[in-house]
Amino acid sequence: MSELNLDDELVQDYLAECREHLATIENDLLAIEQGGADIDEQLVNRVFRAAHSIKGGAGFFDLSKIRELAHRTENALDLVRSRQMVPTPEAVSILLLAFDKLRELIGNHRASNAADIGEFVVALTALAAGSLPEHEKSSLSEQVTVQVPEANKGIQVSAFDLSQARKGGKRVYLIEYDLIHDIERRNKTPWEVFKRLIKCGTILETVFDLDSAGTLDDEPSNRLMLEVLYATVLEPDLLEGLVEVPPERMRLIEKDGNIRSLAAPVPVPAAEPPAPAKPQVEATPVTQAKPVIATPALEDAPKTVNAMPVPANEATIRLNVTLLDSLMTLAGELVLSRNQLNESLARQDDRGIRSGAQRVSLVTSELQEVVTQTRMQPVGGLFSKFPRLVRDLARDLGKDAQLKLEGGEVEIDKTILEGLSDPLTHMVRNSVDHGIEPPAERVAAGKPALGTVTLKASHQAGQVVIEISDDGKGLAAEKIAASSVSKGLVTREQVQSMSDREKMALVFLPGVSTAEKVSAVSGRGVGMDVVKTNLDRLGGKIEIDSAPGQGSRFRIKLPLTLAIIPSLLVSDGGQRFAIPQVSVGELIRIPAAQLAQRTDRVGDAQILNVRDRLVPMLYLADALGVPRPDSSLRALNVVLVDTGAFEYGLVVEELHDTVEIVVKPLGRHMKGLHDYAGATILGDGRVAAILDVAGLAARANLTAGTAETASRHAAAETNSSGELHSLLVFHNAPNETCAVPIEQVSRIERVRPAQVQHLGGRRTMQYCGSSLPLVALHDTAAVGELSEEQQWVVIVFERLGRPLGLLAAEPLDMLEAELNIDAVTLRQKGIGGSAVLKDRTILLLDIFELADAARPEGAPSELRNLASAVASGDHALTVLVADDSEFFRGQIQRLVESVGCKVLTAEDGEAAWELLDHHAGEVDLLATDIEMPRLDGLALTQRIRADGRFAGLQVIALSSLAGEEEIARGLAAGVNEYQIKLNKDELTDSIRKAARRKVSDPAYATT
Amino acid sequence: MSETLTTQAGQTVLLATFFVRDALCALDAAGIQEVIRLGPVTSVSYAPEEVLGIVNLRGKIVTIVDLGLRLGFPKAVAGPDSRIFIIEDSNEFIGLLVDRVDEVVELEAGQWQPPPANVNWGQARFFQGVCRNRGRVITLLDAGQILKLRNEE
Repeated sequence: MSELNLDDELVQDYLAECREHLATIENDLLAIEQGGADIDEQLVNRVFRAAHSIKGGAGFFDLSKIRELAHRTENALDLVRSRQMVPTPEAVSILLLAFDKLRELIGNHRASNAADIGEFVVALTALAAGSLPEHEKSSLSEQVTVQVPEANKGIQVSAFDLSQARKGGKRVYLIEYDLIHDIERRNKTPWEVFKRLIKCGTILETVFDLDSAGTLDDEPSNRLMLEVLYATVLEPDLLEGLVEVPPERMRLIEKDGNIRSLAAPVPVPAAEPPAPAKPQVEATPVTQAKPVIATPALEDAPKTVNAMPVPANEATIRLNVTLLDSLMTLAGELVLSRNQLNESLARQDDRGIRSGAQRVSLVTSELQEVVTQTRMQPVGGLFSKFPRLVRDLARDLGKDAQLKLEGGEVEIDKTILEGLSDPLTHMVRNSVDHGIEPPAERVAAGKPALGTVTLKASHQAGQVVIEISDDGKGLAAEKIAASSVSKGLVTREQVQSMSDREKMALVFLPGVSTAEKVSAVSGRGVGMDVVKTNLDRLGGKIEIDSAPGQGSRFRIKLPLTLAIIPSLLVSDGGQRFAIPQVSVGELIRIPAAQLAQRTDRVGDAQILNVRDRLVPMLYLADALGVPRPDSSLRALNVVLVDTGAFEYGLVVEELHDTVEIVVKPLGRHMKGLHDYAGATILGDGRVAAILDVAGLAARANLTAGTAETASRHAAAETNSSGELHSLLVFHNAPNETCAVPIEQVSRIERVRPAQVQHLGGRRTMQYCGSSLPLVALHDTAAVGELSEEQQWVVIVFERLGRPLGLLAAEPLDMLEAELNIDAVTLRQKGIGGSAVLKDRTILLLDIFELADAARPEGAPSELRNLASAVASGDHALTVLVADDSEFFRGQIQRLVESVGCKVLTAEDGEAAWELLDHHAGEVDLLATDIEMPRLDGLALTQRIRADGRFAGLQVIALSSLAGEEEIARGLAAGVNEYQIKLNKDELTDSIRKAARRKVSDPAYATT
Repeated sequence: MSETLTTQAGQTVLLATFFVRDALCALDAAGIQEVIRLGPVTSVSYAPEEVLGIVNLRGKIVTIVDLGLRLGFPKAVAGPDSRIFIIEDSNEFIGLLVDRVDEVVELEAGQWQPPPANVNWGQARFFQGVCRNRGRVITLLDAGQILKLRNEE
């Protein structure tokens, strides 16, 4: 055809249109199949028309094989349309395969004429033959020649086509176009003319009359004739308006084969029935908002069909003219703004510059938006290929499956859409192959035999979310884990600490497969890793959610566009980084004061409590292997990020704005680094790396398992028998962590080593206008000394109404924790016991023992008198100490013994009661903890108060946390006094009173 | 061997000479896009040791390589004379940090000699040859070799 000098653009135009048709044909055919014998005429018509338009163009461009194949499909469809053939699944399969072949041919149109389409032609002919009445069958192969007058040639056309064309009251015309005068000179293209014709009828055949061009030896004829055999319901006078050629070149071919020129008046053939009112004119396919829903055709369900444009081929993109117009307008505005800016700059007009800059920024963002829009395409185009996939796959695998599509109108960047095709195909395939069970299995599980795969697109917070879900058997987390372990991709230990969700995420590792059998479709362990890689490249995140027996759901989060992504800017150690918004969940600022409350430490891992979810924390500086900025005693900025498999808190030094950044790739030296997703240039021209939160987590060996383990450990700590204590944690020597119950602390002062005065072998410092005696832990206990490099603090206690300072060092921490206190291992003078907290061993100080040991003369003489008094003779007091914590029981016991009392101890209320019961008259005072297993302090008190034997027994409730409410409850239960645990002064005071009472009335306890 | 050396004797090549620490080195001037000053560099954690970081060169991200470090010298100390030679290779811009730019000299290809046998410290692979020019010894570097990643060597 090159001699006709057909514009290549024209061919491209035709091919693009063919692709669009083919994209819709598939779904339409599937819908036709579901409709069965009850055909939706409009639907069939549409497919027919599509096939026809492919044929028409192919004829025009001399793509003979495409034309032939399209023609055969058209025939078959025509039979369906005229209800001569029922669209059985077999018939539809043949049609689908034929259209597949067509697509292939169109994909490589240059070679198409050499392609072998024999088997498709045979199948389609057989299909048509099978549904034709006997006498018409022969027409399939019979050729009729329509003689073109004034030209010594005829047009070959099959008798079948001719007779089909005449059905429904159509007329067949022979139209002669002069390509030069009728088309070229009128600034039209042949393809436009063709499309016009196709809208109102059927082109049976086109033939170029090359002879009309003459030979070089002839006089230039200046004519290039194209003969078109056209069937339409239009009457001759209406046809003239459509084809726009002089009437002498339009001829009506009558049934008997006579050819009559329309130049002469044409009598309406009486034999022809009136044309039925068929909707012949149809709008060109436009995207319909409603996507196809491939449900088994309910009788009254509207048969909506979508005609979504297929993602056009690589080089070109179809653009709405209004979009182009707005681009032009914006470009114009940009020029104006630039001029304004230049002018203002020349005049040094500050206000003008400002407003100019503002305008430029406004226009730029609008321009960006519009340009982005030009790249946007509805995902429906991509979705539309899946119903076929599901159908074919289900048939192959002997399963019943349907595909539901939602949100086909959601638009996404062309590049992303193209990149999404393979991963989505793979995942939809997986859903049918692995997810949906065979019908029998489904029925046995109480599910409908028909499995459903849903493909859904939606907008969420500036991102596109695509969900692939099925109601199949779900992912077997354990199986995936086992498979991964057996392939040596992860260790058994790693798997043990993984959550189900993370085990499922193992399918993204190369070589993992869940299919028990390798099928033609899947199970070979390649694929999901490729899916992940592809999605990563698109800046997408994938999440898996699955419940065994109920199905699984894959969620893919994608940026709207690749080139420009909204990102959060953060900085650490003086460098800025961008975190793609797609990964950012929320921003959390933890004031230093709440740090202890909101974060915890499990082993090496620091975890953050976010609305009762425990998420692992990762310092960006640690992940990047740079020194952490000094942020002690400062608020923490945490970016809650999501890797897809789990979320974690990324601790950064500073949070900045959210900006739109242009993603640029990193150089080859950084190719292997998964910590970064690229780089970008910021407003000030500097470069910032774009962080890949999943890569960072991997770098820091952070997995969902860590988070799980962390929360499990935290839970275990909570469940341990320990009681909630508020502790002030501080350091002694740099590696020695100490703590005291916070109740004992009156205040904390920062102090410089130089402020400590050494007078008379004692340490003091100036404090509130007087001398504060100071003690240090190493005075009494065998521990390290404070070094001058540390930041010193003085923890001030109240000791018999007088302040006493303990020298300690920062960092200070305040925490509430349930402690299991070991009162044996590290017990020494001044140290009451130890506990393990967040992997550190903490020494619990006995501040009074320290004070008394360091300054023996400080022990109040009154107390010593009391001790000697109560110890002498029969008046010795007996105190029962009930506490489930060995440390506190020991502490209280020593404290009580130090004033000369006899002590009985019990580890819980029940044991205390047994002792009391046993030594009914002997116990003078009960000091009991509140929270205890078996029988708590209050219940114990109530039991005591209910027993007349113990009317005179003093009950002191000891608690580390005493709220007003608790105190009220204690008093209501019959407690005499409510004291803060380990407040030695209060307790000895009570003992003293009890002793006085006993001395004055020795019989009171026994009455 | 390299293209520069296989150039026919008698043909001349333009070489940009510069100092890496105190060694006078040269690169084929044709391969050098431009020479820029060292501006603010964004460092990249976990990048290979010789990568100083990345910079913005008119909208392109350029990886800056400490040429001296690559050649086996100690880490560069950026000074006022530090310059970056921008080289394009496989559609990517890479900047080589040198300590001081010297001049552009025109030399005949035939004047080159292979690197002396006593060149050690794994540097020889970066050297295409040496030559004397106005009493100074110039070492011609092989840009391709320098830009190779360690795992490609």
